[in-house]
Amino acid sequence: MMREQHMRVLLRRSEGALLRLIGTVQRRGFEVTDIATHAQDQDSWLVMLKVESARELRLLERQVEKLYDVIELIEEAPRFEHPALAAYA
Amino acid sequence: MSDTTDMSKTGAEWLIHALEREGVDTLFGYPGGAIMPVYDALVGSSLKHILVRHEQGAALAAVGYARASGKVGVCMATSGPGATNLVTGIADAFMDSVPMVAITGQVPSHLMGTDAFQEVDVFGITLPIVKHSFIVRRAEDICAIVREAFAIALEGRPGPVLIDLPKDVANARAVEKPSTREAKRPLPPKLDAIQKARSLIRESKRPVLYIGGGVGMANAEVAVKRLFDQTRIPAVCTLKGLGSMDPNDRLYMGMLGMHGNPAANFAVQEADLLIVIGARFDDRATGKLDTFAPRAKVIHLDADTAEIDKLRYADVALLGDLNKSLDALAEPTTIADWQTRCQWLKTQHQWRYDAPGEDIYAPLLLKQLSELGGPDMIVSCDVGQHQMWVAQHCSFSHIANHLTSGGLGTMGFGLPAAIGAKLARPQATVACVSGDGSIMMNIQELATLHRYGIAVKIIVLDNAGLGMVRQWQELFFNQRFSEVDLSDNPDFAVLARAFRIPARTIERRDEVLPALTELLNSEGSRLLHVRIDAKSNVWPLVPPGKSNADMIEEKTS
Ligand SMILES: Cc1ncc(C[n+]2csc(CCOP(=O)(O)OP(=O)(O)O)c2C)c(N)n1
Repeated sequence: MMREQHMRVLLRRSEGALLRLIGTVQRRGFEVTDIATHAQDQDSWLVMLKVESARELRLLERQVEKLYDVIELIEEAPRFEHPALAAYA
Repeated sequence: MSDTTDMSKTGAEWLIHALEREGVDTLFGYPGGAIMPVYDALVGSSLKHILVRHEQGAALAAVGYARASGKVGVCMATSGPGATNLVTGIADAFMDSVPMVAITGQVPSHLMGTDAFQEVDVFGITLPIVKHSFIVRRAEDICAIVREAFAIALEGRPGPVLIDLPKDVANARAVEKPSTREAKRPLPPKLDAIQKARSLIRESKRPVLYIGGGVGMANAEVAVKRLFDQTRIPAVCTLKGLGSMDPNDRLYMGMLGMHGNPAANFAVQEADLLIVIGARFDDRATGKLDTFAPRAKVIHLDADTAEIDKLRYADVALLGDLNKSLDALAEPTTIADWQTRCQWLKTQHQWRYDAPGEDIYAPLLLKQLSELGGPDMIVSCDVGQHQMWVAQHCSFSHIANHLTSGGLGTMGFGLPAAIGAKLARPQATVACVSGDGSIMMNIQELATLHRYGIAVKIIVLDNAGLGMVRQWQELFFNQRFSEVDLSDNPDFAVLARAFRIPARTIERRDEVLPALTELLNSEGSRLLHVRIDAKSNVWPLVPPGKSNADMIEEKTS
């Protein structure tokens, strides 16, 4: 079942960082339906994404977190709701 | 910038300096216009540069070097076609989590984005297949970028890092900006996760250790053996986990998956708990995923959080330091019935080598190669049926002794990877087992063997065709054979000799042992061309899309 989900990412303003983020989102099976980027300061972008997929967002989040340009994922909900990972929150 | 600082080095010279400081001794590459400043700086450096004959050879040699040694493999190419020729090797490193730094020359900054001669956006092309990448914009950043690249390549789950260096930056003079970046150390595992894992193991009646290549990368082979010895939980390996277990142990069930040992697959199917160690539920290992180990809970140990739940839900995840996690789980178990059951499964599914007919039987030849070469021999193989036979019939004492392109399945991997391995571990005997299709994909590297006197013992298993594809056409495409015939192959022995590599051809069973002995005991490189039956198949097999429980064995009529 397709679901619309939201993600907010604080990204280093380095070369290719946006491409890397969007590429990762698409490659991992999520369609970007809306995107806004905002330069926070010299060093960072805030990227707000609306994505659609049948897959679970947390799986994408873990791929995104691995990117070296990602400073942090900004979360509304608690991060690791998954019991096996709760210890790592 | 004050003029008291050291502006004596160019960007290219700082690059070489930084590589030396990383402890790089060998790198693989091929020069060209955009990277000429770097090749100029190479003159007189302490680095040993291996001039390959195709950049794909450089990248795959770097993979072989890294996998055999655990160090970062380094390769280098010029812009445009040089860079695109590296791509397959970079992808190979990505899929198999191999630490690599690839350096490409780039057209001068002011020409970037103008479709200049030999300009290609290699940064863009490789985005999905690198762990990270850099375009160097200022010469003074080079040392810090190199440090960062090596740290990233090695830390956590290893992988390839690309550094694209525009020619003007390579030529510019600069001062060094030092960097203190260290590779991140893995965190200790969490105590409550360990406790949950322990109680799952205690409750389990039919646990199985499912061991993957991550064990090698995390230097955890000793800890895995200790876990196995302490718990006596029956173990299976993935293609890339081979070498971590003693093949003769009665509770080691062999490789799981499509061409695995039925005993391994059946044990996993019956398991009530999988302890997954540095493995990622690859489809070639699991078969139809939703039928894989249907009754098992999962404890997943991995360096990469993104692997947890990616394909299979984990009841417990153990991230961080694999050695510590493994040690924390090493407690004796009481699973005598299950051990008996697994031993029985193992005895029911021993490999047989008494194939009828007169043709050379490749599985037996590979078993004999492995016995003659000993467990410390490194075997690098290509992709196809011969690759699966190597996995089934050779024995390895370490994961680093079995070089196989697992994730990408790169035909052409074998020879360059063997070259890299031999340079990384000059004392080891290195064999390359290839097919008549695969060997032609990087045949030019025979020239590299000769040029540097690198001793690789090559075996070409020649079934006059693309055996693995032919097998699938036979079994799953109604025997409609399409573009798999290679019966007009070149004469491989003559071909090798043209590269000044001694070679011979064999086709009878009684020739095998003398030929293998000669191959292994002679000095330097050699090629042994082995004609085998064009119709032989790899057995047993899980048909694509089927459950591992539905393994089919060879029909004996
Ligand atoms: C670069 C590349 N192209 C195509 C394939 C698909 N493929 C997988 S196995 C195979 C046949 C390999 O033939 P050969 O090297 O002779 O080995 P055999 O299966 O006969 O042992 C092919 C074409 C591949 N894995 N890699």
